[in-house]
Amino acid sequence: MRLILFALAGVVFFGSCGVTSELLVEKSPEHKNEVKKIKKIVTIDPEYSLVYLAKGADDYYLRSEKKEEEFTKTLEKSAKKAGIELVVLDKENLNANDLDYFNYLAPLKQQVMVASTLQDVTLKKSRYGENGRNWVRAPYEVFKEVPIITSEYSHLADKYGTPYFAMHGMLTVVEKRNLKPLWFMFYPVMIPVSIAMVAKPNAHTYYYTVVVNVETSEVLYREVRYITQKPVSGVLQGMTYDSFRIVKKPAKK
Amino acid sequence: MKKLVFTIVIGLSCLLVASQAQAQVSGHRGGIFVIKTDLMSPLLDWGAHAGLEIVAFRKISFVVDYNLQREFLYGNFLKRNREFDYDMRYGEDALMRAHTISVGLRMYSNKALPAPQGSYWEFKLGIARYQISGVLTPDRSSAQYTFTYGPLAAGRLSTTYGHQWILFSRMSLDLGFSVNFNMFSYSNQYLNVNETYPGINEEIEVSEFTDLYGGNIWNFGSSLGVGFGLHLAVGIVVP
Repeated sequence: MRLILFALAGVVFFGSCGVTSELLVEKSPEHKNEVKKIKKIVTIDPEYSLVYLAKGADDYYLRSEKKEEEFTKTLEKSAKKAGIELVVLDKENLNANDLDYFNYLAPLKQQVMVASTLQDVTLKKSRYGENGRNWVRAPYEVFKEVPIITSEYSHLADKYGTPYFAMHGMLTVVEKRNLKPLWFMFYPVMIPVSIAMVAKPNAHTYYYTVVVNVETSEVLYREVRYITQKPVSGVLQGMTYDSFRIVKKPAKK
Repeated sequence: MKKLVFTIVIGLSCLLVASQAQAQVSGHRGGIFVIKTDLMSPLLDWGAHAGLEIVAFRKISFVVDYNLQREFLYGNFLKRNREFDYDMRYGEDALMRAHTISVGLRMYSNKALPAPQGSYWEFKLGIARYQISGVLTPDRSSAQYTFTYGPLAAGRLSTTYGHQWILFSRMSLDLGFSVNFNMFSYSNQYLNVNETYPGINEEIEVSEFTDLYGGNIWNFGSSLGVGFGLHLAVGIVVP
């Protein structure tokens, strides 16, 4: 019986311990001055996308509405736990009076995403960077040149009661599980290797956050997380809460 | 006794440090205490387990455990992989009880997930108190003598690699494989039955019993009590 328990635990174990993850956090030099003022953030249309590579070419890309709803609710709860009031502006819940979304918010989101991906920035070396001391606190780097947007959105700060606007999103790619290593089980000595190869994670999840100050027109904070597993509820809660905690933490010199 | 008190003090100090550091760590949605019990303990050791994990930093937590183990030497339910050569000389009822208190450090390796979630390495140091009781039938005679030895003190060192999941917001599930070492002091390694029953010169080598406690899955059968262990602990994350 012990060997059976051992073997079953091994399947679950190898599947879980094969999980790898990465975290990339970049902060503006002004972040440490503004962190105490970040009490309310408006997030524009959080997105969750799911790509199933195992499916056929016609339906491999799914935008799961149910998962998106769960993602949005988790963001709200995690922000509240971290002491931030999160206002979610979702285009699914617009009415006839919500012209701001199409006139300002959607273009703002697009401009922030373009600024984040296309503007070339360099980063200061931080002792809390990727190779720094990250057992105690989250690693981060600081912009030398800060990504900027146009100043035409500064009036949104008065309308929504906060100058901080955020873009949140999550993408999960699920690969087809390779079952060919199961053939190795015909050789008893290869059973552990076979189990390890089949049980290893086959999903990749990316979570991103960009926070911008529309009054100063600067990207204040951006973050990308990567983990090789599906975003089940415990993982989603852990990542989003940790993300909001890091937003509230000032960068040290 | 002094060592036991010292261990408990260290454990409580970790608790105080962690509570002060609560504002600095994420934990799981603010939960930095995990109270757990090992389901393998009653199943494989006929015992009980209670543990407390305290998240001290982003990827580091402290653990404090209490473990009660009971092992029947020739019990039909639990068979070990080692054959005794004493079974012709000793009786068939022997029981070893061990109370162990351990403190340790757990280091999580996932970058995107803070403690207490993800894969980890754990290093634990413990103090165990053993008591052995049984029936002695020397040289196939019909006479039977009961014996009880203890408490015996020993140090325990274990290294664990595992993974902890957080389910349903507050429930934790912790699966880990460990390598355990038990370190008995030399003076405790041989117990002379003559001390209890004058005229019977028998010597019980304690390692014949203690190597059963190297681990609850597989033992190497050495006098150090080395073996593999498996734990599956369920718990609650407490804010």
